[in-house]
Amino acid sequence: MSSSSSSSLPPCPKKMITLKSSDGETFQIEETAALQSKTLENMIDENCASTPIPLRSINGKILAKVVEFCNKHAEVGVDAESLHAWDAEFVNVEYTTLFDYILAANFLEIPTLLDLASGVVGDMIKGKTPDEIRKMFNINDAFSPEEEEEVRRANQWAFE
Amino acid sequence: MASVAEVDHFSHLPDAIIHRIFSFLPFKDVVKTSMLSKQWRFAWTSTPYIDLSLRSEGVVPSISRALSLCTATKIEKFHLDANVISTEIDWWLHFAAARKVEDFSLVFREWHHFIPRLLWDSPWLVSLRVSKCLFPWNITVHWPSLKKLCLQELLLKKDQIMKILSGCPVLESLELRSMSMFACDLQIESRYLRELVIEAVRISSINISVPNLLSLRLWGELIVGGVRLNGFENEDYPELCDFDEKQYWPSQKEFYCVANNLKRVEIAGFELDNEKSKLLLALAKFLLEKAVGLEKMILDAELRMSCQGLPIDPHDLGDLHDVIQLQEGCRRASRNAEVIVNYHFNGLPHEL
Repeated sequence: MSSSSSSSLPPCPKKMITLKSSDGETFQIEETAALQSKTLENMIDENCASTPIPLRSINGKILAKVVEFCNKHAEVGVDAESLHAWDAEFVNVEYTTLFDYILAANFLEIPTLLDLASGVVGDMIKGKTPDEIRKMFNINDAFSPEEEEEVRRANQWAFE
Repeated sequence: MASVAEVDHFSHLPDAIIHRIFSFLPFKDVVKTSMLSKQWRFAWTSTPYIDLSLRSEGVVPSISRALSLCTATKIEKFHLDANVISTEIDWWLHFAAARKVEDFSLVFREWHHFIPRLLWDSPWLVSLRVSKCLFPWNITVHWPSLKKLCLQELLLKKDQIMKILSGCPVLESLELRSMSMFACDLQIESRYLRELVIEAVRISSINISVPNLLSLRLWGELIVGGVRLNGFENEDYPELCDFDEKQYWPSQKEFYCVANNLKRVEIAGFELDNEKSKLLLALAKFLLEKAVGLEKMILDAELRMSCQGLPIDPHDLGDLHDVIQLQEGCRRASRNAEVIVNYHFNGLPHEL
């Protein structure tokens, strides 16, 4: 009903917020995209988002990717299939980066990113032997042979 | 000295993330993580996600023992897919139901198993899937939070289905798959339902009154009598022998779901030139003409076998003309509606 009157008005400027990474880089993100993060949503609600928000646990390289993810998922008119393909490409990274995504998504409370990256880690673990998993993720906090035997015996069925 | 590349990220993940990763793993793999590192040794015992696949009776006592070590007071997910049966399974189900399970799935492959009584009244249940389970004749359920219900390969009477549905006031997704229901005039009424899948045999007719429906999937074999989409009038269902599409669909006046929200329609498993296909194609045509928000309509047609054992050429069938009309010529209420027709023979996709 108000379409004719609103079309003559200048478009409403997009509300931006600024994020600052642990290594001092700053990133601009539209508020609508930032709302995917519950942590940022709370800050916006409490009017704490007018100055750059320092994110001390996320470096610039990872924060750039997280902003990219939020922007993509805030786009309108993207069909489910192409978003799925985009997501698959997004998490096709070294496992160390994958863990960085998970930690960032956990800190910022972005459930879509947390599930996406955790799901990939789950798929990497599924059906593999403990040895294969330790090697894959470079786990160096291993048991002594005696301890290992004890753990195995406790749940033998799971290793068969 | 450990270089940056050698930092062990995995051993130092917080519990919340470890649990999130567990949510994607079968229980067996979850338990297996006890062997990964000292930090992970007991992590599995606090998992709120349990996804069990039971293929032999031999492991039942071991699984029971593992479950008895689990400490979560709230179980988010309990899935069991079993092709053997054991009395201990009752204890497992009780274990989950007593821990306020939200997402419960019970799939039995070969045997029917009673749905645990503790589950009949569960204010926490959000998603429930049951396959080859038995529901007592007099079941009364109280599932005030249930949003998703999938009933598969069950023998149910109309009264039981109606009683189950009346215990789910906020249901958003209902799937009835491979059901043997001795039900005529099945009525589905809900303001919350968004997704409806009906793949069932022996329903003589269904009456759908779901004003906010977004997605509808029907499996053709079910419709012997008719489908109604409003449910507010008391007209008799048409007999197929004198079914007249020109008369029937327009006589259904109040199509709330169609007018407002319906986005996706799938009609599958019907044979072309079968007596039922006439009604289903008429339904498809009707929906195309009326559904203003329709985005996608998928028709999965089964081709019958000719006397030579080959799929019958649909070009020889009168119905093909109607299908092509649907794809190309039919008037559409929604400009963006896409119509996809797939042909199948013996259950496999078939190119014409």
